[in-house]
Amino acid sequence: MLKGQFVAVSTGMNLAGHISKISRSYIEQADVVYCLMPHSLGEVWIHTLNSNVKSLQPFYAKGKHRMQSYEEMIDAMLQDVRMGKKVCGAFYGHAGVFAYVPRMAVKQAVKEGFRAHMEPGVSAEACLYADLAIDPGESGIQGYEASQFLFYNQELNNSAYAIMWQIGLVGEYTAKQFETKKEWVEIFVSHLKKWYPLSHNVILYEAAVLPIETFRAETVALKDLPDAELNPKTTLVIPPSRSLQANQDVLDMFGISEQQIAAR
Amino acid sequence: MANKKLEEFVIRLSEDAKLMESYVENPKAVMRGAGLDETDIKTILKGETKEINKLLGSDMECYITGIITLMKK
Repeated sequence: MLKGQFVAVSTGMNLAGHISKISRSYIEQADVVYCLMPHSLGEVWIHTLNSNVKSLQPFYAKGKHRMQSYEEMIDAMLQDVRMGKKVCGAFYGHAGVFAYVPRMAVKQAVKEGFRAHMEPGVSAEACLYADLAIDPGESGIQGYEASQFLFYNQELNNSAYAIMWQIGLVGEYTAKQFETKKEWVEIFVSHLKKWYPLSHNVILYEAAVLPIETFRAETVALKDLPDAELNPKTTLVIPPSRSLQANQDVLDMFGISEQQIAAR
Repeated sequence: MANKKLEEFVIRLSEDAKLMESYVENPKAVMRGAGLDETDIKTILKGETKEINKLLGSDMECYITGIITLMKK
């Protein structure tokens, strides 16, 4: 095993309050920490844990392909690993959820013979369950990146919750901009008509990233989504539009009726 | 210029349950107790994100979507 090492740690959503003890310890003990935080105060906080902190934010730019930004971030972190340093990548939320940079950095470091792994954390999805009081065990849950859902043949189960990540970027096919357009949201809504009536209420959710903020949970009718305020932090939550339907074929195989299934 | 006192207060608030409980009960008193400026306290109580970010010296836009995979590989 070569001398350098890389750890991708998850800092959670709400500044300093969500991080695990072990992730905090990796930050404190690293030779260098690269961070990607949802608020500049997050970087200030990381600086209180380690004096050698570099922000990954400058790699982004409007008009620059996001994949180029990602590759540059990975390269910057691995350069230090190759120099034999203990490198920590601190990423907001869960470093492995809807994330490319931390995952690829770990993969590349391992491929080159370095020790590398990821520490889990509190994701936006975890916050959503707490803030909106949704239990994914109640009727099931499905999650999609909104643009991917729109551009590819994905199916929805409208008796379960649906979560559409990055609704504020829906239809942004160039990976060079950080916003959607009203006409793209209209196409998205039109696509959802296959599963939901336009009057169906949906929730616009944004987790709090500072303790002096409150989370956003705004209910709008699906038809009004194109006029709603959407930004890169916004997640669309679609509650079920119909109740669970018993699978009579399976119940027959068990020789039971729906009434015999243990009630919650 | 960074508002150190405010930064330290917000960071502490995010990791101290007792302080958070007191803040939820009486935010103005807790912020006064932490020695924050009256103008800062007013801005925070208004809850306008842009103004709060200015106070925290964060006018920059953080691209928080950047670590998310957009399309299939």
